[in-house]
Formats: sequence, C-alpha cells, structure tokens
Amino acid sequence: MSNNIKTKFPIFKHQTNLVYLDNAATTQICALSLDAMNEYYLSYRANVHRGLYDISEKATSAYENARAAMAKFINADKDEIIFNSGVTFGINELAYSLSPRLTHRDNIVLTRMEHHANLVPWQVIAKHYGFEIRFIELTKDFQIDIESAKKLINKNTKIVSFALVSNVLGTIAPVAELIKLAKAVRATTIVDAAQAAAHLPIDVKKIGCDFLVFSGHKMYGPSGIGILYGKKKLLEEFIEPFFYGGEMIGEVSYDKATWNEVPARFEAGTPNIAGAIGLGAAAKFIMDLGWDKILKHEASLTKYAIEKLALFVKIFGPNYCHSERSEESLAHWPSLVSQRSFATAQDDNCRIGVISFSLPGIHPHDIAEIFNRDHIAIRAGYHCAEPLHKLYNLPGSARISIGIYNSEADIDRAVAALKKATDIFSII
Amino acid sequence: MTDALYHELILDLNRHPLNKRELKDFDFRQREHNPLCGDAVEIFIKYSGNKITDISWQGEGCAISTASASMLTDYLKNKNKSEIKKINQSKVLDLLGLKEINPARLRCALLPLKCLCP
Repeated sequence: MSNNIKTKFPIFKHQTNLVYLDNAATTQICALSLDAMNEYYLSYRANVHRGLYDISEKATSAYENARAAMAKFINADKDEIIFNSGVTFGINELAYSLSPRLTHRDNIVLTRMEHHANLVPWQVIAKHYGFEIRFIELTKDFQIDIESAKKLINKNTKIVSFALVSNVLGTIAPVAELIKLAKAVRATTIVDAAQAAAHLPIDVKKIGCDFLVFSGHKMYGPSGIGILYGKKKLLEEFIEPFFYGGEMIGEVSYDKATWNEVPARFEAGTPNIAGAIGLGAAAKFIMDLGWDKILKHEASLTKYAIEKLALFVKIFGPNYCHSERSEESLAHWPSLVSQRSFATAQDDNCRIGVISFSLPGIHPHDIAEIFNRDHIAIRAGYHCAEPLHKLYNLPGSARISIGIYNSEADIDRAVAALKKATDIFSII
Repeated sequence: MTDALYHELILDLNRHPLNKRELKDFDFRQREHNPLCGDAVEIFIKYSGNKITDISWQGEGCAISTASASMLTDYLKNKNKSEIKKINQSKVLDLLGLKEINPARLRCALLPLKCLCP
C-alpha cells in the first residue's frame, strides 16, 4: 500500500502525528464517504421515498444507489440489504424476531469468542423462551474447534450465530464448515461480519448464510449506520418487522396495517439517509482500492507486527499469519471465497490484523496510557468480550488492530512504545 | 527521570501491593468493577466497635487502581469508621502523590473508594 493512502483519510491532515491502531473499535472515515455525505447535506437534503420534487427524488436515488453498492459489496441482491444502525441493532432485531419460535427443548449455538453484541441479546431472550445457549470451544491455537461444533449442533439447534472474525483474537471462523453443520439440522444461520467487512471480501452467496450483519464505522464509513443482510425469501416469509411506523407500511386503518415490500418493511421511520450514502461511498472506496491490494498489505503488515511484538509480549490469539495472502490464496481459506477449502481450516491464513496481547507485570490499561503519550491509539480492556478473557484468566488485554492506512513505521513506533513501557515498569 | 504518573511509589505498590489478601472474618465486603477496562477491586473490613481493626483488598487492576487500593486500605487501618466518609477524590490523589490525572485514569484511582462509598 503506498503512503498515498493516508491522504484519502482527512484525520491524518488534522492529526499529523497520530498512529491509529484501534481499527477494530472504529476505523477512520475516508474522504469519499465524507464528501458524499456533505454533498447530500449541502445540495440535495430531503427525505426519501416521499417528496414529489427534484431534490427528494435525488435523495431517494442516492439512498437506493447506496443500497445497490452495499449489495455489490457482499454479492447480495439489492432487496436483501436493510439499512440499520449497525451490528448491535441487527443482532438484537434478529434475536427478537427469531426467538419466539424457540422453546425450552431448543438450543442455539454461538462460539466462545463472541462480542457481547452476539451474546447478551440471546442471554436476555433465552430467559423468556427457555432455550439453551451453547458455545463452540476454541482449539489451543485459538481457532474454532470444529469437533466441538459437531458435538454441539444437533437436531434441536435452531440458530447458529457467530463472528466471522474475532474482535479480540483476530481468528477467522471456518464459516463454510459451520454453515454446513447448521444447514444439516436446518438451523437459521447468522454471521456477524463486523470485524471482517473492511478486511476480507464477503460473498453471501458463497457463504450461504441466512443473515449477515456489519457496521459502517468499522469499514472506513460513518458511524450510526450498518447493514442487515437477509435472504429475500426469509425476509419476506420468515421474519416479522421489528419496528413499526412510517415507510414500512402498506395500508393503514385505525384497526390494522399491512406491510410494505422488502426491504422497506424493515426500515421504519426516516432512515439515516446521509449515513447510508456515506456507507455506500465507503464500500465503493474499498472495492475500487481492490481486495487483492488490501489483503496483501494487511497480511504482510500483520505478519510484521506479530513478529516484532512476539519478542516482548504474549499474543492472545493465533501468533502466525500468512504473508502471501492474495485473492488467489483465498482459495485456501476456510472458504470465504471458496466452498471447497474445508480441509485447510486450520492453515495459517486463519487470522487478520487484530492483535491482542498481554505483558506480564504491566496492566493493559497502563500499556495504552504509555502508548498514548506517543500519540499511538490502541485499545485496552475486554474489548466487549469479557467472558472470552475470563475463559483464559486474563484481566483484559491490550489490542493493536490494523487498517489499510497503517504501515511498518506505525508498528515500529508501537514497538518503541512497548519498550518504553517495559522501561518505566522495569520489567524484562 | 521521574514520571509524573508512574512515579516510584506507584510503581513500587504495583510490584508489591499492600494489604492484598482476602479477609476470612469480615464485617464489610464490597466489590466494584470497571467494565471498560476490566479493573475489579473488592475491599474487606473487620471492625471492633467503631474501629477498623483489619482492612484488605483483592482484585485485578492497573498500576493506578492497585496503588490506590493499597494506599487507601493502609490509610484506614486502625482508624475510626467515621474516617471513611471523610475520604474524597482529593484525599485519594493526595495519598497517591498525584496532582493531576486524566478522567479515564481518575476512574482507576477512585475505583477502590467506590467500594467504600458505593
């Protein structure tokens, strides 16, 4: 990736010394996304799907073009893209919509590495409907243990919901195998792609999941906007709207109402118009940049970071990364791209540049503090995955997470800050 | 070079915390947790009448919350119960030898106090 990439992110003009390594929390926003939102606000601000005047039509068409861009981004059909506020909303919506079908005889299957957003909604709703929540275990290499999944997913499993990429470990889930196991028992499948959207190409047709969710602010777009993808047939026949009001209705009387077509049915109220337009622009930015470039850059940087960091710290996650990742090498992946790669689920491509670590003798919070003194932004704590940390007896971890604008120089500065931390705390 | 935040006292308490043990026989016990960073502190107190005869803490935390729990428990040992209510933010910072601290770290420093005044 050339240095040029930083110029496409205005933050770096304003924060010239910033080393931003907290991309798993939120990425910086690209200029294209900002410009698209600004253009809407400045030159054709109007509500969508309502006005009979020029700028409203223009707003409607920009909003629907953004939907088309998001459909292209994950190889879905346009009607399968629902705009919402992000992954947390999407999973809550699915949990509330799907759970009433479940009884105390049923179970749902998650993994040990879920973000709280794919755990807590289920916990709360399970109390109402009495279903059991099961967790697929991890291997000693911090990968999803397929043997465990085979044991847990049975004929009473109604939902299998998991993160495509762990926001703590960086582990990529063997998505094809999990979907296959779930489909064999006719369970509904949900993929949380929050940590994958900016880092791996997603093809919902190849993945074959029923639902997939991701957020704009983790893919160089604005915050407060995200996507719920659902197979059209399921959106039409399987789940009910979650919110009711304007835009989602067909006909309304004082007694009752009918629903609009999909996807409008699931977008009650005036949507986040600017956010959708900005997200569409961010998706175009990523696609124009090209997955091959992104994958190569991030894989080589992840390898570099892990090699440098491993000299000082204990990495909480797979401590390897293939440096030669490209779109062709994705054929070896746990089949994000190809369904035929089951056998290689444990190969060394199974992680991205989310690198959590601990340093004995220094609490993660103190590490982040010392990094901040050198203008290096990292995360410290549980990263919204408290049970995962407790499973490994960790009082939190520090986390470096890579984005397309990061360079080896950023990693070198992070390593220098780590050395400072060890000096201050007089360890090693 | 002296570090304004990580000065000798704080680093020393981080390596060798004071009163960090569980009391089996206690009259008061309160745990507080900072969900953001995962710090958790639990304080135990044994009274004899109004006097604090033993006080200890347990938990996991950063250097600031560890030092704060150590200093706070040490300060209160053998004092009267009424002294607890007199402790405020500036007293905690005073015990830690800190003048200024950013809002995120202030929460670390005050976490043990939160156990005493939940």
